[in-house]
Amino acid sequence: MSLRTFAALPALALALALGAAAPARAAASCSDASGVCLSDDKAKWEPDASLSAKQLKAKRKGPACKVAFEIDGGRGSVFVDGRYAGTVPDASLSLLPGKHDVQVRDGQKILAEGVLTVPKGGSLQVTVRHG
Amino acid sequence: MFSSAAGPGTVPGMIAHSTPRPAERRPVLRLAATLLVVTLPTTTLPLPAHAAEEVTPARASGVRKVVQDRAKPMMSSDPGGAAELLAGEAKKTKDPVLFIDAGEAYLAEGVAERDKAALTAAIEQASIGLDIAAFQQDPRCDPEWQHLEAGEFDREIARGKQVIEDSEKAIADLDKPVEAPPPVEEKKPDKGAPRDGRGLIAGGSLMTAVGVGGLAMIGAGLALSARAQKDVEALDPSAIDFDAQFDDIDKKGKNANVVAYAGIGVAAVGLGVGIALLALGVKKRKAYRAEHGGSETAGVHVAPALGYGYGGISLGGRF
Repeated sequence: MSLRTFAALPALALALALGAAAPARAAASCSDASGVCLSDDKAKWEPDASLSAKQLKAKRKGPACKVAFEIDGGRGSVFVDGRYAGTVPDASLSLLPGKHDVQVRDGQKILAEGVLTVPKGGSLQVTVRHG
Repeated sequence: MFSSAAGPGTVPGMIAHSTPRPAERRPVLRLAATLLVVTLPTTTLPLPAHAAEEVTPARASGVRKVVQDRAKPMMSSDPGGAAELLAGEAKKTKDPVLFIDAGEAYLAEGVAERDKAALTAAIEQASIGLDIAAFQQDPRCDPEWQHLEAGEFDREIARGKQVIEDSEKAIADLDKPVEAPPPVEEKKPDKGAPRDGRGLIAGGSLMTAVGVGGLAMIGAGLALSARAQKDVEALDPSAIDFDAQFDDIDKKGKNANVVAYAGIGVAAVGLGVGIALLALGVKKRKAYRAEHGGSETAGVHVAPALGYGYGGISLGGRF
C-alpha cells in the first residue's frame, strides 16, 4: 500500500461516516419535473390524469402495496380515489394494486394530482416536491 | 330434513338441501355434510367490493352535532380534553369542521397553558380541516363524500385560517424573550440622621469642652494652691492661732491640689477623647461629603476667648 493510498483512507472513512450520518430525507428529495418521485419502477405516475367514475369503481385484485407518502419541503394531505387518506408524515396507506386517483394538497395549493399505478404487494415510497 | 344458512357471507337466495337419509347414519357425518354444503358457496364466491360509506352534509351534520355537544361543556374547564375528543372524532369521521373545531380547542389550551405543543397541534388540525374543505370543492372529490353544503365552505375556511393565524401569533408571543422586570430598588431602612460623622463631632466637642474644663480646674487648683502657699508663708509662727490658721490654709491648699490633680485627669481624658472624636468625625464628614456631593466643610472651630476677668477657649461648630 503506497503512502498516498494510506493517507487517503481517513478521508474515505470520514466521507463514509458523513454519508451514513446524513438524514434519509435528503436522499428522498425529488427532482423529477412532474414533482413526484417513486421508489419502485413498477409503479407509474401520470400527472394531471384522472380516472373515470367507472375506473374508480373497478374492482382491484391482488396483494396490497404499502404506500408511504413524503413531501419534500413542506406538509400536505393525501386524497386517494376522491377521499381523504392521511396527512404527511402519517400518510402510510395500504393500496390495492392498480390505478388510483391521487391528489396531494396543502390548503388551496395542489402539490400533485394524477393517477398512480400501484404494483402488487411490496412497498412504495412516493415523494412529492412542495412548492 | 331441510336446513338453511343465513350467516355472514352467504349468498342471498342460496339454500342448502339435504335429502332424507336412513336413521342409521352417524350424527357426526351428518353435521360435516351440512357444514360442507353451507360453506362451499360462501368460500368460492368472491367477496363483494367494499363500498365506501356515503357521506352527505345532512348526515355529517348530525354526527358532528353529537360530538360538538359533548365537547362544548369541556371547552371552558378542560380545553385540552375537548381538543383530544374533537381531534379523535375528526380523525374517525374525516369531517373538516371537526378538524377546525379541534384546532380551536388546541388554540384555547395553548393560550391558556402557554403550551407551544398545543398551539402547533392547533395549526396542524386546522390545516387538515382546510385541506379537506378545499378538496371537497375539487372535481376529483367523490361526490358521495361531502361534509358541507356548498354555502358553508367559505365560512369554515375562514375559521380555519383564523385558527392558524391566531396560533402562529401565540407561538410568536411565546418565543419572544420575556423582558426582565426592572430591578426593584431596595428601600434602605430609615436611619434617621445621615451618617456623616456629626455624632462623633458632637461627642468630640463635648469631650473637648470637658477637657477644657479640666484645664480650667488645673488653673484654678494651681492658683488656689499658690495662694494657700503664699498665705501659709505669710503666717506668723508666733501667733497664738498659728496652728489653727496653718491647718486651715493647709486644708485649702490640699483641696486646691486635689482640684488641680483632678483637673489634670479631666483635661487629659476630655481633650484626648474629644480631639480624637473630633478628628474622626471631621474625617467621616469629609468622606460623606465627597460621596454625596456636599461642599460644606465641618463647621467646628476652637478659638481663644479672653475678656475682662476671664479667659478660656471657645468651641463652636455646625453639626
